[in-house]
Amino acid sequence: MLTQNHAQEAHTLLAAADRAFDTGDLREGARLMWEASKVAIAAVAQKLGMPCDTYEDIKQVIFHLDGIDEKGNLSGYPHYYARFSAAKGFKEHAETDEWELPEFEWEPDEYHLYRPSVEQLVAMLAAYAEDKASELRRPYQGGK
Amino acid sequence: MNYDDHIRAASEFLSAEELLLEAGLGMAAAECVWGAAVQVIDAIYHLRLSRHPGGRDRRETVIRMRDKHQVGEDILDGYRIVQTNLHNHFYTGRLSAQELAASLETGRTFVNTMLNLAERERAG
Repeated sequence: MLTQNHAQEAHTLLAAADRAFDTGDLREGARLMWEASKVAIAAVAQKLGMPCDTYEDIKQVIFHLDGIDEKGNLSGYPHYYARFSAAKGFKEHAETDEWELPEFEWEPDEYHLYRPSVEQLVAMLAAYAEDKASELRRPYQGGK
Repeated sequence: MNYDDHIRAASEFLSAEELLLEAGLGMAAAECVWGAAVQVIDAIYHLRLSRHPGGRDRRETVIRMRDKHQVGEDILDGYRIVQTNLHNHFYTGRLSAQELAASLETGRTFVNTMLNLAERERAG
């Protein structure tokens, strides 16, 4: 099944990220953490029939899961976004050469500190993707 | 500032955030939640140490609360979001309406959790 393949790929990427962190390659580890997140989000997007080609598409999948509309109205605590923000941080740390605001660059311990949030995000997304009833409870209503 | 001063300031920042958001001042509202987070963390920090905490001290205080009170990773998500999303938004204004709303909700929850833990720390 495609969903199982996504889940397996995400876990393979998380394991590869661990190896990169173990060797001190924080940037490669960050890139792999983001790749794992993208794969897990893509599986849910596919289930929901939502696009997942751009970073904006990816964020919209997360907002949809949390029930956040375009005006920023929430239906509860944004559990997916809270975890996704860690993935977003890894993305930024994989892609940023020179920080416009250096105070926002993570210290080395933060790469390890925020890893469990991405692991939880991947697990939550895998559970959602496998639960066919979930997509029926909250069908996607529109575009970006 | 002592413990009570910090706790009072944290509550004032949270109240101000509500008013600023109603007035459509999202960047200022974001900074108020960051300010409230800093104040409540510093209150807990100052129960043990008197010197002024830096960024690493604050992060370690949050980690200590997570481990001591078994509150899970939500508390670290909250801290990261107030620091990297909301405080950054004050400088850049880059968060979309959806990201700002999600970050503010996460940030308020973080501050309220920390206020509760601060009371337990003081009592304990």
